[in-house]
Amino acid sequence: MDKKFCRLIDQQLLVEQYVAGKLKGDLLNQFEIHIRECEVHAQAVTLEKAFKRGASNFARSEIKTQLRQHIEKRRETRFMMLRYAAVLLVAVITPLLLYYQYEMSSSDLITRMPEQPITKSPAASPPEIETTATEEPDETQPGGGNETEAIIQPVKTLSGKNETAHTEAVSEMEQMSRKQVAAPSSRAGRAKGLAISDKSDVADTPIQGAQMEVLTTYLKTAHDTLKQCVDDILPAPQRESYQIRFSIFISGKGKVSKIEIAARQVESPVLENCLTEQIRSWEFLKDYPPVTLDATWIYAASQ
Amino acid sequence: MTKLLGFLISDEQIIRRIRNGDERLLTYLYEKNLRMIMKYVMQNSGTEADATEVLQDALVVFWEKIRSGEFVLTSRISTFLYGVVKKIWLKELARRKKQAPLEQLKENPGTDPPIDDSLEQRELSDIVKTCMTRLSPLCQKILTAFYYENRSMQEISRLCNLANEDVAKTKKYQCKKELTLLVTKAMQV
Repeated sequence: MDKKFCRLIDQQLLVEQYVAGKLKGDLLNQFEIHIRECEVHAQAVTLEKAFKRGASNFARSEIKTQLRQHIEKRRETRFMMLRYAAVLLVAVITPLLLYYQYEMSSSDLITRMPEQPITKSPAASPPEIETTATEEPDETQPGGGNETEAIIQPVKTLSGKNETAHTEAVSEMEQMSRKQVAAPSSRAGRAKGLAISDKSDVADTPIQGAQMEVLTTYLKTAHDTLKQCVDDILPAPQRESYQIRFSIFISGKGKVSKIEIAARQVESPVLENCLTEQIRSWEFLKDYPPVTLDATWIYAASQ
Repeated sequence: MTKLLGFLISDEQIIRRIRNGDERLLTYLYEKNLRMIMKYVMQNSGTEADATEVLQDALVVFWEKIRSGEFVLTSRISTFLYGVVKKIWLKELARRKKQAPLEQLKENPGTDPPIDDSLEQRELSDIVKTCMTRLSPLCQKILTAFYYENRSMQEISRLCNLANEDVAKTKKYQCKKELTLLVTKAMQV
């Protein structure tokens, strides 16, 4: 019986069934008695138990490894989704912020316009403006005033010349040279040596109006400097009637980028060079759109 | 996402799906119970790494119980896992010879590994585990299915895409022979 039993065991079948707990009854008893006596099969049982335990531990470690991989994958997916969400958020919010900032700065410019301080040319010293108590000359009659006064007429134009306006301006200048010019009424008040024609319908836009105010101030404060050019270059008889009409192109940075002489009383390149040098140094409001302004400056000898 | 899934899936459904082999639910249970386990382990001389390790071990035990058909749901899955974690961690602490909290757990034979735990046997099984990694994927699959999952040869032939039961038996014999050779060589070293 033992030899037959041994052969059965040699087929490994009984060993496997014993370790798996599938042997029952008499067969189990016989097997247990046998392995107590047979060292070979006792070792076979030990090895089979080790196989079972080792394979089970191997399987458990594989499950744990797969579990860790799943967990890591979920973490990476979650992290990647967070990254995509952050990128999307930045991509959406940044343009909105930039647009909002642009809108706010644009509205700020418009509301600040009238209050921006006007930069003055360092060469020009503002003359004292006095309000005289003299009679108001008769505006309706030509030559109603005794004073020869400089008339500053900032006239708005759009960028690009308006030939009709220039023609009218030249004829106007010619008329004025034959007359004693009456000081027109002015909202700014009348000043000795200066009168400002303030045409309220000149500026169509707040930007042009703002730059015009700057030009008006320069024509007032730089009058003596411009007058000096005429005194230095022109002979006395020609001085008094001297007038010049010019267009200045103001860049977005508040600088005078170009000066064009539209009309002059006396042809004198040297004089015009002197005058344009002065005008070129004037600084206007910055960060405004470019604009073209027309102005007429008339020399007046102060009495 | 985990909380949303918790509203949608019950414990019974989890057990049913794990019984059918859905391993992904282990990840769900891991994330759901991690905070609770971490709190327990870290309050008892452990670290975050210890907590994750212990929870993974507990999930493997849970997986085995369900797959073996021995598991009967008498409480919530979280409660069961917590109990298993406590037992595993106390054993680990005893092994590390650290001071553990004075907690006495009732021995639950259902969660204990098989006896016959001699040092020689443990060392031999560790060698077998190491040698298993050097077998081919097919042999690993066959031997795992036979020893760990207790599948029949017919099931193994279907699982491993083998022609029939006899082919599966032959293949298993070859794999065991190869494993024996590896173990013998390892023991000689």
